[in-house]
Amino acid sequence: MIDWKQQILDNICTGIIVVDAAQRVIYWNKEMERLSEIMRPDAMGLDISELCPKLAESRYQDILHNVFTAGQSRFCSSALHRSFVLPQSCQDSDSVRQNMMIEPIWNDDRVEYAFLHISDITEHTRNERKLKDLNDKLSEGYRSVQAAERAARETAKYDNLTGAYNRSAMKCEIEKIISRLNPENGKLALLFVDIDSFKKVNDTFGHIVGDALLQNVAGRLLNNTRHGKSRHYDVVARLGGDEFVIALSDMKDFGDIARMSDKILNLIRKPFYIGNDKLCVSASIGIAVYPDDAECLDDLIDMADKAMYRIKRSGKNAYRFFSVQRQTSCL
Amino acid sequence: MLTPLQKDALTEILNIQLGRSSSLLSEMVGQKIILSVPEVDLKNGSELNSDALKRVGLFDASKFVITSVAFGKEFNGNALIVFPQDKATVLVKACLGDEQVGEAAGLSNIDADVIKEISNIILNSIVGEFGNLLDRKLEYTQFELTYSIEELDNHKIIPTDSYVLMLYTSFLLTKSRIKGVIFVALSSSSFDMLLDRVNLMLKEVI
Repeated sequence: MIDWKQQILDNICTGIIVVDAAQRVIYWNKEMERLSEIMRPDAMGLDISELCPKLAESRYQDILHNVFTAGQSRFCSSALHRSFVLPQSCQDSDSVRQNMMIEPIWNDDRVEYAFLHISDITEHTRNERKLKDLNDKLSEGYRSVQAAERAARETAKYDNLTGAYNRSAMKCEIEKIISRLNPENGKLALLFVDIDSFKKVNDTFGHIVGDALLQNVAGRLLNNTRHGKSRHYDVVARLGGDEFVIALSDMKDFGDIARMSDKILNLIRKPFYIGNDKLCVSASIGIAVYPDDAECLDDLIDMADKAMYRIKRSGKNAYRFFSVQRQTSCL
Repeated sequence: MLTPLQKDALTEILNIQLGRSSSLLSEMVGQKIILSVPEVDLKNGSELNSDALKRVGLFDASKFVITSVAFGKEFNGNALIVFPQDKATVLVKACLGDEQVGEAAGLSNIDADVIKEISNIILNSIVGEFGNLLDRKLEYTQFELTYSIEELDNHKIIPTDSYVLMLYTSFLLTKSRIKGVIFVALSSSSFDMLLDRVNLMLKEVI
């Protein structure tokens, strides 16, 4: 007659041991032969501790004792116990991971045997670790990409040469200031600043010195306005070439704006020392005022630009309001 | 349904057993773990579902890990331990340190095995103590681990007609405190057996 139960137990991928109350092995399946390299005939009748020395430790003896006396089953995880049985030829015992379940086998009201099943999950654990490592690397990569994106977004706001805002960021930043400005408490002055005769600087000293001059001008403008990385009240931007736009917020009145414009003209009039060269330049400033001249930013820029061209035509090196009436009252 | 004295007696019995489980767990994971049941409550099986868990303020999480075991014969019922999944992850991390495989957001199979073993030790000690108290031999089914709170809501684990001892459990680890809850659902006759024994003990003391 075919012993089909034996065949089933020998074909499952779980090591199965049955021991009696004296802890002698009465069953040892094929998977146990693979896990331990101890053949069934050699294992039968031996004390379980001789075959699996780890089970001689008191904590496992307590578990076995509990199975026989209280009928309690017990699961032992690979994470907390690592392994229970190792083949003698095992070179890398530290990497072996096994789960073990110990259960009672009842005969009426008495536990007659303990049934141990041991699952080898070494490969499974290795794969989980690989997945975790991969996941960690992906998370790290994702964080780096996010940081790079943030840095790129921040960098994209600034003019490469001078560090002032570029044209697109300028609009956004001034709109922000306008949105929180209370016109009853203050005005916003938009100053269109153009360096006078900048072409001559480039023609005389070369583009490298011309670029350095623009950097120095921007530096003075940034250092002498309330332009900050966090909450700023003023905006300094370079539109291109030798054109700058300055937005000054919370200006009390037109006199305040005129004084700030004078201050900026004087800042630019002071000599610049670039290498061995001393450069003396001036600027023309056109001014439009929010909300008095216009409420739309594009209109304000256009008005300030026009005012700047008027001053260019009438002799340069000065500021001019878009509104003739204001210009007269401030002079 | 339980008098303050009965509650105190049960709390004390369970804490003695959990003290033993604490030592076993501490030895196993190589760090001090203090387990305690500061409070015992009795509920009707029909009252227990995920909403009830949220109402007692223990679980505002939406994901849970539930380990359960059934025991019998004469004295019979189901015992289960419920952890919010994020707290279970903290517990596993504390037990394994660098060995932890799972991510903070979830438990790997290996992490789940650790929860299963910890729950196994705790439930064995609690149910085993009831067996000792009543001098009854108990047979247990396999420990089962599930993440499905629906099983609790659908009363697949806790029958509606059972009495349920609700044990608010606290795991005190080196750096954190983890709250869980243990349910021991007993049939009406098993509950009467337990209560009779507790009353007898109280009578002996008083």
